[in-house]
Amino acid sequence: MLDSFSVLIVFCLYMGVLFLTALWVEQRSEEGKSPVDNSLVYSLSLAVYCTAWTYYGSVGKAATSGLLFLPIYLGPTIAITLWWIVLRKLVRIKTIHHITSIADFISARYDKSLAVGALATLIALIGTMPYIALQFKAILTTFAIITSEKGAPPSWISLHLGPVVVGLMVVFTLVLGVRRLDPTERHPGLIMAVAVECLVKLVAFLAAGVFVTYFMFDGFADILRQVSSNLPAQIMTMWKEDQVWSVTWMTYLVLSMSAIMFLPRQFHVSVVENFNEKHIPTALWLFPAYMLLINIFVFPIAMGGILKGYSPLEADTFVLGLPLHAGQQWLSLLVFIGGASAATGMIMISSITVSTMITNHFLLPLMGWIPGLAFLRRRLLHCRWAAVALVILIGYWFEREVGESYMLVNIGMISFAAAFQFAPAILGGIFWRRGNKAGALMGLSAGFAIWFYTSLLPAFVRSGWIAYNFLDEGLWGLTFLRPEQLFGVLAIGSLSQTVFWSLIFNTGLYVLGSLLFKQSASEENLAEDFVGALTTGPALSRSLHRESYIDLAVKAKIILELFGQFFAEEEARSMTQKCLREARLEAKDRISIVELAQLHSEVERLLAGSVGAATAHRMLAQSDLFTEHEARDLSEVYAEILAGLKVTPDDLKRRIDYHQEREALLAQHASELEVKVRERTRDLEVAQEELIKRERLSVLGQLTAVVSHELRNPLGVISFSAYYLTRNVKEQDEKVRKHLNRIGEQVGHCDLIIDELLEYTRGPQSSLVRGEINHWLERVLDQITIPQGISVKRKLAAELPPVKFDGETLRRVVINLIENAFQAVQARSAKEGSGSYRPLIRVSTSMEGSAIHIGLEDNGIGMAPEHASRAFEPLFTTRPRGTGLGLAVVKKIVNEHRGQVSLSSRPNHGTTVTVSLKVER
Amino acid sequence: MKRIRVLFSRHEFHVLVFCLSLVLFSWPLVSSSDFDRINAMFVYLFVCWTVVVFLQFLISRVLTPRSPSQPTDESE
Repeated sequence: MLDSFSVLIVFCLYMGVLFLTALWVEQRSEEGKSPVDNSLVYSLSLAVYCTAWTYYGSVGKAATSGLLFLPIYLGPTIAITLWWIVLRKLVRIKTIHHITSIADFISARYDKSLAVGALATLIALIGTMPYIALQFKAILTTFAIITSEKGAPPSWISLHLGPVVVGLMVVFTLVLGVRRLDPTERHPGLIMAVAVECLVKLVAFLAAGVFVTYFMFDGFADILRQVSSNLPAQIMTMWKEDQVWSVTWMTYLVLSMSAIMFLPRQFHVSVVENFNEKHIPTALWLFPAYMLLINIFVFPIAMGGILKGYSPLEADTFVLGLPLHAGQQWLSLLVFIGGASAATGMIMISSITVSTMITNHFLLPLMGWIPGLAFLRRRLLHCRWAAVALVILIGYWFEREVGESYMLVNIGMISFAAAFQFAPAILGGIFWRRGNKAGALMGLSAGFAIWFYTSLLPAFVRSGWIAYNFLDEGLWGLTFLRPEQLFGVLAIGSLSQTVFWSLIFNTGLYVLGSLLFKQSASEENLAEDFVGALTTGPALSRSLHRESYIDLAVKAKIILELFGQFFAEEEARSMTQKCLREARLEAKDRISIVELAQLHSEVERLLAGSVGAATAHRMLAQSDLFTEHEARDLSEVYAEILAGLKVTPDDLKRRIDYHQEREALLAQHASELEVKVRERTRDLEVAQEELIKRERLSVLGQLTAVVSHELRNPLGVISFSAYYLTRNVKEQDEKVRKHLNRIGEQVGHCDLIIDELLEYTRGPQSSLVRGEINHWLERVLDQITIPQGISVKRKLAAELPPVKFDGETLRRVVINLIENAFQAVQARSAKEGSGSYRPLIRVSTSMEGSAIHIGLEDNGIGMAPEHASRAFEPLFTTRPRGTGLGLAVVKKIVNEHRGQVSLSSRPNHGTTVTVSLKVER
Repeated sequence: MKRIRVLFSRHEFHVLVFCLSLVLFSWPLVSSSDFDRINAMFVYLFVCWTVVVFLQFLISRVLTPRSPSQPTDESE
């Protein structure tokens, strides 16, 4: 025997190592490098299915019923073959709907029904409690065995171990399982601890099996040979007593096929804790292989114990007892640790999942109904802690009260039968669209009632809580209501009839209720989501996608107003219709959020074709096409899609950064293009105006040339006739001479007008030649006759660089400007008299930057600002006899020199005209 | 080889293996009438179990992506 204190220390140390491992995993997970995101860990954690019942109880079952322990593991092996179809769907639905437990799953599928959730929680709670009790029983019993001499009273530590184990379990579960409220309900640290425990229990059991098979006997063959020849007759007789062996075998097979998926802890580990559905393929073979290994020595150990003379009724302890009685203390300690691992893993996972169900499906609805409990909403985490502690304590209490009355394996099968009640609702929910809330409620209620009446009540009776005659006489003395022979079924055994009747009533009422009652619209959407979870991926499985709640007429009006800002009403209407047609929404009154997003896209695309992508995007963002509520719905849809993509946060951030950067670049590019388009448009408009002007001038020029030609001939005749008359009329009186002179002057004025018209309307004729501007300007000024009384001063800058100009046309510019200046100073002189006024004209040249400036400044009459601004317009003049073409011709010629001309003037102060010519180096 | 891979990835094949396993481990193949043949039954069950696990291993290999970018399976 081992010292109880030493065993306790080793047990506590082992739990401490698990605790530290779990904390390390939690830390790594927070850093985004979760070691649990691993198919090996996932597969090992599934072995929480193999509890202390497997570890110790299977050997007991093998001793008392032969190979009847095997279907408990063969059933899961068979069911797991379909995991790629079933489990993957459950995992995907869990991811989309953030499922936290098996009750949550059933509730979510059936219209998020509180009643369904509460009923499922009740079944899970009642079905799990005996199981937790079973684990405590295993730990306490085996501790007593390993630390006490046979027949001797248990040690003090052994008697008080229960509270220690309960305390350890509560602390461990609280710290690793419900330290915080996690919306994903994933507990990486705890799962790693469970995976390690599963590995330890496998190693320990194999070690015990190898010892018994190869050290106590000569291997499998030896044990099997001795069984054939030496197995005690009473054992064979005991096995043959089970007259319904094949029915029981099939019952176990069916129950275990359901239990591997629908036991609350199995659902939690395989579905809720699943990191990635890609872990499922590994679990598909690794977990069955695990079960094969852990069972391969069960029969040899059981037979070995019997062959060694131990009673089959003690076979539950053979795994531990055989090495212990053979003096293998360290091996016994390892086996004890393995058994404790099997028990503690189950207690922790079950208490977490049941406490989650209790708080979510019992407590939270109660808080809604009872206003006095509303304060607990802010203390949900504390409620969860209390629930965990309560579940573990009730499990321990149950073990103390009824644990002695039943063999371990029977308690386990009661839990299996409870989990079996979930099967129709879950499988129907994911494969049958018409399954509805009414059917689920009816089926679950009937199944729960049958299970309670045929399995749980007999357990109470056998524990002495209810009169034993209840089993024989039935409810109200009606024999056909006897719990273990319900409706007179005698031949198939208690558990088998529980399965049989609950299968009929549960499934039958589920189908009947679903057919009798109609689904609500929201339930139809949920059914579609659940059944079609694998069809096209999570992106299209959201109910919001198909829920048509948006009034299309309202949206069409907004779009019409949007287009109306840019287009005429008729065109805007046509474009709105086009968008609706492209989005295939013409015939609809109401649309879904996804259809609205498609319509938005069409509008933006069409608008972008007219006003550019950036403006279209901005205009749509400013419009009311998406209300706040609709934008939120759309966000939810995208969130579902992103969740379905299953990318890591880093990946998602990288992708978003990439797309944001790309969008920013595109927007910038679009903006630059817009600016360029505006510039080009402006240039084109200027060019078009110039072209039109040129065309007009060309036509005008041709017309002018023709008219001028036609006018010059008669004018020439008139001029010649006037000259002839002046020379040959003998008696010229003063009056005749005056009229003849006037004819001559008017003909000269007409010639001047024709010259200026021809000059203005002719095509570009300047022929630019590089030359010295000062020298040329001096010569031009010297040729001009300066009227008397006007002073012309020259201020020409020295060393000006040569510049390209046409001397002849530019001469015309200078003459025009200087004649204007003469007229201006003469007008002022006439106005002010010749007193203090000194008419002055300054002609200057200068160099500024890369241009040469020719300035003509006078101190004449000046111009009003409104006249100065129009001075270069053709045919604009303020003089009674002016043509209005002088300065227009100046501007035209300067433009031909690719230069600029500017004018500044102040009334009664003078005018300055500057001609700038670029120096081309 | 590709044909085998496609076969093992089909959901119908998984259902077939499921049915085969169910038959292998069900009455009447697992008979209780002759307890004298318990050893033969023990060997039969574990051999069949190993075969089923091996089939599951082959299915798993087909479903496991060979590279991170490779899809694991076609949708339903």
